[in-house]
Amino acid sequence: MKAVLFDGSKDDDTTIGTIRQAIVEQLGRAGWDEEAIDVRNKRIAGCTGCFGCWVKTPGICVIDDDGREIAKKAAQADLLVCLTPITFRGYSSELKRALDRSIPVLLPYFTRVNGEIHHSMRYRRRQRLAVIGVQASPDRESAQIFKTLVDRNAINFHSLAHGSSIIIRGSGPREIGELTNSLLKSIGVTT
Amino acid sequence: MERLGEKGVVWDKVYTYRLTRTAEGREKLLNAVYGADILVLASPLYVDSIPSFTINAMELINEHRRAIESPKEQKLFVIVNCGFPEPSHNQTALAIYRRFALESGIEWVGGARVGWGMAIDGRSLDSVGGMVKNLMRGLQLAAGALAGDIPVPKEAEELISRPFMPLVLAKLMTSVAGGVGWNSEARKNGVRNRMHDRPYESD
Repeated sequence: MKAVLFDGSKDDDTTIGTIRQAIVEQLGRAGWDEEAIDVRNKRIAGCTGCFGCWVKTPGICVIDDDGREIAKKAAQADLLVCLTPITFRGYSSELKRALDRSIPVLLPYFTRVNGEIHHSMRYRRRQRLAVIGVQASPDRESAQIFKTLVDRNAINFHSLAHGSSIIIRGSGPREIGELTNSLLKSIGVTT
Repeated sequence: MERLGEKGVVWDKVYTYRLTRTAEGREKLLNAVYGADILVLASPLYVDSIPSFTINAMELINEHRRAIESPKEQKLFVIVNCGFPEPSHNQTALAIYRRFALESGIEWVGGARVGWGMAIDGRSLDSVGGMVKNLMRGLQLAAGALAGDIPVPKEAEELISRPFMPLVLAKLMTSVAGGVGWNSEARKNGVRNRMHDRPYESD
């Protein structure tokens, strides 16, 4: 089973570094083949919404940079893990750059999910999705919006199972390990 | 923006996807933003949220304002548009914009959600017809309030956010005929029969 982790840190974020290490270790123990990608160190242009990946080169972004690799990794993974500093209740621009460039994994055609219109899947493989946000202090309203965003992404990408967690900046390795383990367990990645 | 111009507001338009790419562009963006009294952010919905380059612009604006001892008073009005018929898809993006305003010390004066933006397809609203009459009325109201330095009425947000036609009908049309436009574009590019390609398929 393959897992890909998109690290959406803006800089050397020690809390996100600890989270990443915990997840990599937990996935390794559970027998997953994992790969972590530092999005900020990749050459990924922002998606311009040209829809070329749907109507010019189906399934492949027309921009020839590392964004193509991002979509490929997302398409081939069984588990997608996203890490981000919570930014205005949502994702950092770094993580969002990777997610925006993942839309070639969808088709332009429409389908209904719970009565709502969404795009159809291009691939048969459905991923599990885990998103972890880091913020300075507890904030119930932000947590709700962040969770809603992850829930919406899971619908959009037709995820097999999904979950999200918020970790307070400066948390210790033990606490982080318990939270990541609980999240991975909740979506059936570890037992 | 034309409505604001009609009311005597001097306005300028910048594109975050162009300006966030280079250091020179980012400086131009910050100067343009800081020179304004009213900010109107209009964006499409990408993957249930705001496009990455607009988030990047927001991060830069936030950092810039926080670095200044007494940043100037500014107002923010936002419009988010998605291709799906349901304007509700934009709700999370609006909440994120609102938080950006709060964290940046910018006065939030309102936000509206537009669904089925593809029905406008980049045309001038005047040429689209009756389908966008509520949208145009809402924009007129919002522009009047922004120009008059009074709160944007909830009615403006509601009118802009109102679906172009009954949602049941819009959803039916999207489900049944939504693929026709994509197929037509693909045909022009000679890839109609490759639309379902899976270039990254693996076992």
